[in-house]
Amino acid sequence: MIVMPGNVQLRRNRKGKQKRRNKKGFLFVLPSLAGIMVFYFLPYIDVIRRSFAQAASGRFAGLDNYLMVINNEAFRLAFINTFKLIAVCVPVLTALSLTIAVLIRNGIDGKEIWKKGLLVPMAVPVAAVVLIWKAVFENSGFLNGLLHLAGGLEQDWMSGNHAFAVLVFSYVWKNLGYSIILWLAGLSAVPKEIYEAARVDGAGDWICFWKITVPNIMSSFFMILVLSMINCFKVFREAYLVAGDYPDQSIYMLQHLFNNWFRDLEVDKMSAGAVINGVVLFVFIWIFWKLWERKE
Amino acid sequence: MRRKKWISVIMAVSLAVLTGCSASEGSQQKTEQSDGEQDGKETYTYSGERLEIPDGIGYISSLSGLENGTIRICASDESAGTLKVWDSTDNGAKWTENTGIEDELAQVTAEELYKFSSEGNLYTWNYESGKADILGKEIPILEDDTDMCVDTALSGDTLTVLAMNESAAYTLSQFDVNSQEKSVLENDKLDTALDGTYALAADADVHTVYLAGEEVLRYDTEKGNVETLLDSTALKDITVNSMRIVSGIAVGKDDGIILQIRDMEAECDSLYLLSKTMQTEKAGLTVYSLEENASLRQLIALYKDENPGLSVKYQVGYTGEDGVTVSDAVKNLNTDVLAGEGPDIIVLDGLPVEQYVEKGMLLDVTQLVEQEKDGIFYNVVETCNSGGEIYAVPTSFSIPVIVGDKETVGAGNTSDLVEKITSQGSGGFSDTDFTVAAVSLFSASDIVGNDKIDKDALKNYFEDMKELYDISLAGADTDYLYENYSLSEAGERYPQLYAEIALAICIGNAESGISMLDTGDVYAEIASVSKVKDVTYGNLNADSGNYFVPSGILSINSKAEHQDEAEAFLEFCIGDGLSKVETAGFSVNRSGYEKSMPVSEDGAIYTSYRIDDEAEDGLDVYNFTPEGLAETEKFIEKLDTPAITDRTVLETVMEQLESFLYDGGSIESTVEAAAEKIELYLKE
Repeated sequence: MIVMPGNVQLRRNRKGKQKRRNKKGFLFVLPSLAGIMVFYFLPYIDVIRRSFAQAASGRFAGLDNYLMVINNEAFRLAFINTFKLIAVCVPVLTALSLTIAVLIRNGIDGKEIWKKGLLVPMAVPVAAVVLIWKAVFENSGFLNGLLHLAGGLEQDWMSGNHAFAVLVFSYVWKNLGYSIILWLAGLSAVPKEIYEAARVDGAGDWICFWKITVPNIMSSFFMILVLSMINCFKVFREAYLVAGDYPDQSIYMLQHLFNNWFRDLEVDKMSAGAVINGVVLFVFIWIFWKLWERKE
Repeated sequence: MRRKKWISVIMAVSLAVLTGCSASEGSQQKTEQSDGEQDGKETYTYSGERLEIPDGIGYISSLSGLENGTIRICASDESAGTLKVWDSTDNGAKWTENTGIEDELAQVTAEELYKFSSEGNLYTWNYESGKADILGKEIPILEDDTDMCVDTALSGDTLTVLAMNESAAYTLSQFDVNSQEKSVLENDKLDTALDGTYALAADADVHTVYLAGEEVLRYDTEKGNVETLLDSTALKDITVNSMRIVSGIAVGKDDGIILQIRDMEAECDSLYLLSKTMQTEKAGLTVYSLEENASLRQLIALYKDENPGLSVKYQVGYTGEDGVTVSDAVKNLNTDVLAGEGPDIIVLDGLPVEQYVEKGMLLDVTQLVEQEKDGIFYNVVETCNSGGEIYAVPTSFSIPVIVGDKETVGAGNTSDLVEKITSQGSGGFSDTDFTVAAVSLFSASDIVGNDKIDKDALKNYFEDMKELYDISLAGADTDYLYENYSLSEAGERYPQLYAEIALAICIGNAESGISMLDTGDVYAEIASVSKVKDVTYGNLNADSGNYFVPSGILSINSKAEHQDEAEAFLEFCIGDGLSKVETAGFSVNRSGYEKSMPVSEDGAIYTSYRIDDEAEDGLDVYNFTPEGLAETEKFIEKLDTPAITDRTVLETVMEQLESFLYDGGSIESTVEAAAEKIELYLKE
C-alpha cells in the first residue's frame, strides 16, 4: 500500500469534491441544455446546411447564397439598422438602468413604487403597446395634438429619424424595469463592509461607485449586455405591428427582411442571412466574454 | 476523454427528447384515430354526388323523409302541369312514381305548403293564417300574425315548427297534435344556431331535429346539444354561390341526408346526398386559394359531379373572419409546402408567383396547356409566364380600356391622355370613374419593372393624376372621398372595379372615360355607345403594351401528393370546366368567353339603361353580331402584357396617391415615400 503525504491526500479530496459538485450542477443544467440542443442547436445546424444549398434542388451551392445575401441591398440596410439599434439601445439602456438601480439602492424616496412601476411595461402585451404607439405617435395622435396646442409644427413620427427615435424609446421603456432588477440583484451581492471600510478611509460616493461598485458588478454587466442585445431583436414586433412588412427605411430590421423572405420562400437567402447574423453576434459576445474574463 | 463522455450524454439526451417527441406525436395521432373508430363519431361529407331527379321537374315543392328511410319528393311535372309524387328507397339513386296521392294533392290550395309525415301522411300548413291541417285537425302554429312559418316536420303526433318573427329572429317549437300543447325549444346554443336556417327535418323519435341553412346542424331536443354536421365552408361546395340556397332537408337510409338546393337564377331545384363518414377520412385533391374564389368553387363542384367519389378539398387561406392576415396566410402556405404537405393545386392570385417558379415549387404544365391551345386564348396564358415554359395558367382576365373619341383613344400614354381629357374641357371623371382610372392607369404601365421603379415616371404619374383630380373632383369633400372612394381600397380590390362610363358618355355627362372590360355586358355597353356617339375604345397606355389583368391563376405544386389528379383537374378547368362556369373576368376558354357574350344574328337591342324611368336619353345595349364577336376575339388576341397586380406595389402607390391628392402633400415627398418602400420590396 502506498502511503501518500497528508497535503497531497487533502488536495485530492478537495478536487474530488469539486468534481462531484460540478457533476451535480451539470445534472441541474442538463434539461435546459437538452432543450437548447434540440430546439436551437440542431435546427441551427440544419440552417447552416441549407445556407450552402440551393433552395429548390437542395444541391450544394458553395458560397453563392452568402454572396447573394451580402450583395443584397435590403440585407445590408437591415443589417446596418439592426446593429445601429443595438449600438444605440444597449448603452442607453445599460447606463440608464444602472443609474436608476444605484439610486434605488441608495434609498431614493418611494423605491418600491419605482421598482414595481418600471416593471409594468414588461407586463403590457405587445398588441396593447402598439395601440399606445398608434395613439401617441400617429399623425393625428396625442403627441402631434400637444405640438399643435403648443403652436409647434406637427411631425410624422413614423418616418425618418423620428421613427428610429420612437423605436429606441419603445425599447428602453419596455426593458428598463427588467434591467434595473438585474442590476439590483448584482448590487445587492456587493458586501456592505467594503463600502463601510472605504468610507472610513475617506472615499466619497463617486470613488465608491468606480472603485467598489463597478468592479463587483461586472458579471451582472456581462449578463445584462447579452440580454439587452437579444431583446433588441424583439423590438421588431412593435415595429411590425405598427408599420407592417415595409416600415420606414430607418426601422427596417433584419426580422422584417427574414419575415418577408419567408413569405417569398427565399429559404436559401434566409439561411445564409441567419448564419451571418449568428456569426456576428457570436463574435460580439465572445469579445465581451474575453474582456470580462480578463477583468475577472 | 471525460469531455467526450459528457458530449455523448448530451447528444443521447437530445436524441431521447427528439425521439420522445416524435413517439408521443405518433401515439397521439393513433389515439385520435382509434378514438374516432371506437366512438364511431361521425361527420357528414358531400362526396360530390348530385342526385338524378325524375325528368321534367323544375321546382320541388316538398321534400320529406319517411321513417322507413324512404325519401319522398313532390313536384309539378313541367309537361303536364300537375303535382306528382316520387319515392326513393335508396337515398335518391332511383325514383319510383307514387300514384296513389294525386287526389289528395289536388286539394292543396295555392296558399298552402305541404309535406309528408314520417308515416307518409300528407299534411299542410297555411303560411298566411299560420294554421296547420293535420289529418283534419286544425292547429294554430304561429303566435303572431306577423310571424312566418319557415318549415315544419311531422313525426308521429309531434309537429316541429321553425318560425321567424318580424325582426328575423327564429324560434323552434314542437306541438302535440292531439292536445295542441306547444313547447318552445330554447337554449343558447340553439338560438345562435337557428340564425340563417331555412329548412328542417325530424327523426321518427322526434328527439333529433335536423336544420339546414348556412350550415347543416343536428339538435338533440333531450340533451340540448347542437352539432354541426356540415359547416358553412363545406356547404359552399354544394351551394357554390349566393343565388343557390338550401330549401329543404330530409333524412334517408343509413342516416344519409338529402339537401334540396334552389337555384334562383336557373329557376330549378336539385338534390344532393350527404353521406355519414368516419372523421378519419382524408381528402383527395386539395385546392388552395388565398382568398375566396367563387369560380373555383363552381369548377370544383362541376369536377366532382363528373368524377363521383373523388374528394376535392378546397382551402381558403385568408377569410378575414379570423385573426389571420394575408401575410400570415402566405407564410402558413409556405410552411405547408416546405413541409411537403402543401396543396395540390395552388391559385396564385396574391402570391409571389415569380419566387415560386424560381424555387421550383410549381410544375411545368406547358405540354398540358399546349394540348388545349386552340380552345383557349393562348396569348393570355403564354404572356403570364416567362422563359417559354408555362407554370401559371390564368382562368380569367380583364382588360383596362380607354373609351372616347379617336384622338383620346389614340393617346398612347397617361400624360397624353390627361392632356387630351383636359383639353376637352368636359369636367373630367366622376368620383367612381376617377378611382377606376387612377388604379388602371398605374396598373397598365411600365413604371415598375422586375427589380426597379422608374422614379421619374412615377412622379409624372402622380402629377398627371393631380391634374385629372383637379378637373374631376376639385372641391369635393375629402372625408367623403376617403369614406366612399378610397384609392387604397380600390388598389386592394383591383381589378374588381366598375365604372359607369358607357351610360355617362351616352347621356352626355362625359366625353371619355376608363373602364374595365370584364363581362359580356360591360363589353356590349362599351361597344353600343359607338352606335350613338362618335366614340371608340382601345387599350390603355398602348405605347408600352396591350395590357390585361389576369386572375384565377392556377398552378400545380411540383411536390403535389396527387399530381396526376391535379393535372387532370387543371386540364378539366381550362377545357370543359371553364366553358361552363361564370368567371370573375372573361373566361380564358374561348367557348366560355363566347357563352358569356350577348350575341344574336341581327345584333338587336337586349337591354336599355336610363337614369330614371322618365328619362328619354339612355343607353340601349345591343347584342354582338357573330362578326362583332369575332372582332372582340381579335382584340383579345392582341393582348400581350400582364398589368401590375402586385398587392404591395399597388397598395403602396394608391396609399401615397390618396394622401397626395386628398391631404395635399408635396409631390417630392410622395414620390420618395412610395419609391422608397417599393424599392425596398424589389431589392429583397
